[in-house]
Amino acid sequence: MKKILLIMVCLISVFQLSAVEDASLIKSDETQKSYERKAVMGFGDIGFMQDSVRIPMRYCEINEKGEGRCIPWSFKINYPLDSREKLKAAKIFYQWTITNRFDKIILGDNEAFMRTKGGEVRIGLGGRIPTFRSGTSDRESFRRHLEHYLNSDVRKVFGNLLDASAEQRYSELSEKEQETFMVTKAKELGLSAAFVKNLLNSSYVFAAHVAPIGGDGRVIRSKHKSAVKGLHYYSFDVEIELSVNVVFMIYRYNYEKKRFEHYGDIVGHSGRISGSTDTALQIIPTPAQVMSVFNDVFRTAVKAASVNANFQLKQDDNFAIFMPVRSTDGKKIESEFGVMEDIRVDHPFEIFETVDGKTQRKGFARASDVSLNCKDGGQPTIIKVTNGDAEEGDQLREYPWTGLYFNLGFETDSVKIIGNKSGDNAGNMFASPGLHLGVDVDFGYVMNRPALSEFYFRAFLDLNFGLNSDSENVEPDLLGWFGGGVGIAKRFYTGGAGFFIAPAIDASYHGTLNDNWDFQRFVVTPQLHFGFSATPSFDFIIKGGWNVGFLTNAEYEKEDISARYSGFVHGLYVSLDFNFHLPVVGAMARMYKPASNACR
Amino acid sequence: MRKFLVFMLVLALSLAGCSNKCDFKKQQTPALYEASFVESSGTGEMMIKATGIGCSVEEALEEAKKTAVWFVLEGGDKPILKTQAEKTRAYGLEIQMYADPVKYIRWVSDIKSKKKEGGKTKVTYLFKIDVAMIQQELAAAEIITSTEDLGESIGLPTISVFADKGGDFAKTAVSALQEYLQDNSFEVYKAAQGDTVNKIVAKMAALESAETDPMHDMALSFGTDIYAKVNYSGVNGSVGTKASVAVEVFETATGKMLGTTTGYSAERRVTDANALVQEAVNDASAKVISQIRKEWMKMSKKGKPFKLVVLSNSTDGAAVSDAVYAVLKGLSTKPVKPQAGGKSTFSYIVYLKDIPNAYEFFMALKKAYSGPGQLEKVSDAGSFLVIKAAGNGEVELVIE
Repeated sequence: MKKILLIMVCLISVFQLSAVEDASLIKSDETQKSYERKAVMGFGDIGFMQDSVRIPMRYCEINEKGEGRCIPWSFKINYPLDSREKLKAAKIFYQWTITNRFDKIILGDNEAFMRTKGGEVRIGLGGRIPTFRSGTSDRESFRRHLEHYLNSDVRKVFGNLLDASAEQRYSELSEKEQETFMVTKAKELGLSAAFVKNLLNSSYVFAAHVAPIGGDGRVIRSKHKSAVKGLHYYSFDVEIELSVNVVFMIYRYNYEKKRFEHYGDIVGHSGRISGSTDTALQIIPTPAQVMSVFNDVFRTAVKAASVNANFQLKQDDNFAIFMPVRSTDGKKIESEFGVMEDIRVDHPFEIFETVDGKTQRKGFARASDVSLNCKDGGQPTIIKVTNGDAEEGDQLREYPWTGLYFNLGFETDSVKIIGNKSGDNAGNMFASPGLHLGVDVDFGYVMNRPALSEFYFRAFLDLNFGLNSDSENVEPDLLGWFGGGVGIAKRFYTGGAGFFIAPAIDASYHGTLNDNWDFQRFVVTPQLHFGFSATPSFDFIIKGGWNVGFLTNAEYEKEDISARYSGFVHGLYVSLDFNFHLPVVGAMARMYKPASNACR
Repeated sequence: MRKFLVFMLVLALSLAGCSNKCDFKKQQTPALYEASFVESSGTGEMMIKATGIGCSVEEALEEAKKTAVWFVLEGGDKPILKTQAEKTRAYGLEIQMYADPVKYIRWVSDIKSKKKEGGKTKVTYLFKIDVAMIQQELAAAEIITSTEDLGESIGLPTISVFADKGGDFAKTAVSALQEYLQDNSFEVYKAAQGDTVNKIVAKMAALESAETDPMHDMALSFGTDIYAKVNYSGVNGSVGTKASVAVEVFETATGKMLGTTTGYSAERRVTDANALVQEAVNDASAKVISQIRKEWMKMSKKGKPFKLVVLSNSTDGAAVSDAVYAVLKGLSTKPVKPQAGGKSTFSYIVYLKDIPNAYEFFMALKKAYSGPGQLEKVSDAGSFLVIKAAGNGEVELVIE
């Protein structure tokens, strides 16, 4: 029997090891490819299918119980999409989608903005390049218009220059010769040499087209009762929801065919973005106040769509950061790439190697100390291996990531409500099963702050049920709790197997859902997480902690019974959580800070 | 409990046996022979792209270094060890070199490729190998003949280099090749503007009534042992220009081609193609020098060819010719080749061992000569000797 078992084990091992056998080998240079800085060109005049964003508003009256009705309101949002507004939106698109790992030229109305690793300059075009007018058309009409513009107007002005650069093999000239070539060509066109240089190096052209923007707006009048005087009063709030979907059309100049050709499209989704006034208003809001909320929501939506587009762009090898591992001790990798390539704090990477002709992933790593690589003698970026290991000659590729997770957890979130007398307790200390949903955000990545590296902020809603078994004076009953909270955890990766531990703390507020009981409680939950990050897109976490807090309300059959309790509540918190990466960041886009400007 | 522990131990050992453990035994010789020549980065250096294999990158890199040294010794089309006898003699020293390849490596690139195959790691690097040092050590161990030793036996050949086709770029190539030859201790004759073929060579060429190569005639006039013709051509590719320099090497005395080699530059964009010419000559020079050395070593063993021209007159011509031929038969290691003959003028190709130059050839000839009159030297240069002999009357140089 033992022999059979041993043979079986051996056979299984052999089959597993032979699973990747493949004689075909990839080219050797591809195992060591490295990102090279690119330049891209974009248009300030974004294509919209409408000349303004129109959102009808409703007026809603809500009573103390949260019930109410809505009627159409006389004011409608009408946001004109003139060239100034389009340029503002374009700047957000290009800032977040085409980050500072690229040199950018944004062609506007008879002017251009050139953003390089050295900073941003405005260039007057003096009518030398015809302005691109996007108009208001559907996507395919916009595409035809764009292709015509590129292959007629742009080609007419720069065609000879582009062809000349191809013939001259501009990129192969020495630095001095490049300068001479550029200066000569720039003089011919009456433009600055730096501008022409970037223009000729622009491998790709980006144009953005925004699908129709729909939304919903409400002015809400809420009725309240003053706790002090018992009088009723009203407050007003503005709520606006909208979503923006933008298509980035990418073109590339084909030097053989001497024309711009479609490379591909990416569609950035903002998700549903909502926004409201920061504080409740005492009087009915003015149109200016409504537009202020709209502006905030619109900008957030544009930013969210751009962050999503950037995530998608990084899935394309032509826009992702690649680097061969040069210096490593197996767990820590040094890289020359840094803030100039938009490497952010906690930036995740995949580690690849070529095995029997196939590229295989052998682990993951995250940037911990990001280099200011514009400075001479700058320290290298330190990338720590979290799963697997790395050795010289392995390949690092950035992992498309937003730093945002959807969180689902199965928990027991128990509290025992301590009575003043023995046997007068309520709730349950150990068993209140339920689940929670929420979002986890890597603060370090999203805010690009080294001090916040591996700090995960979370916001959640949860629902759980516990038998009211600790009370001797009342009938045993099932207490249903509903609430929400926020928390923060700091992860420490242990070894290279993807495991981490994280001290954490949550603060939450819950109330019972029962008809007869009305308990409300505020608790903080110090806890410890034991997690496994299988990939940057999926985490598995076991959480254990203790709820400690106080009772804020205790009623039975609408009768205040808080005098029966000490007010102190506590209980076990255990949870099994799953984190799933979210490519669409929605309203969380507000938290995102841009790439480091330390090198500008 | 004890049974359980034994079972676990057996299981663990079995799993270890079945695992994908890297099994690589380090040997004295390279484990892989994957290498290629990249360029001659100097007169004594070569850049070699070599691959090594091992259980780790470090181990594979050490193997790649051994492979690079092997390539210089035995690989490619211009190895230092050219014959099986040399390879056999060099075995012990080769093993020593493989044991410490770093001694001969001047530069190592970043890793150029890394793959895992069959559980082992294969890496490729570029290496700059100090070829001169390897040659010196092999010569010191009397495995190969050093350039100096070669010079001691029959003297180093004098070489003239001519631009054939390719205009000014070919002239650049000529200058670059001349530098390489001088760096390798060869005596190089630099033709000056206005140099012309001397009268005797011109007459002999006409007498031999063959289609003569003007560069051959010029080399004979200069008296160089070997001459080389350089052709340049440039090709415009998709990236830029690629230069190629073709070098043909000839033995001057016989006009026999010793070898032909073409060197290439990388295809790149430059404003002055002279940089590419230099690069292409870099590529070709090592091969050219290797060919010259190889042929010259053969000559030192089997005899060096000389061209002899004898001038006489119609009265004594036949007798002089017979007497000279008889002497040559006694001196030559190979059959004497009469090339042209008339009533008063004759020419021969003769292979002579242990006679380094035309002057000593004349002295040996004069000593053994028993024909009409006295032998007198008209000119001696390299491997070209012109003599005259006549019992009565003046010597004639007649084209008949």
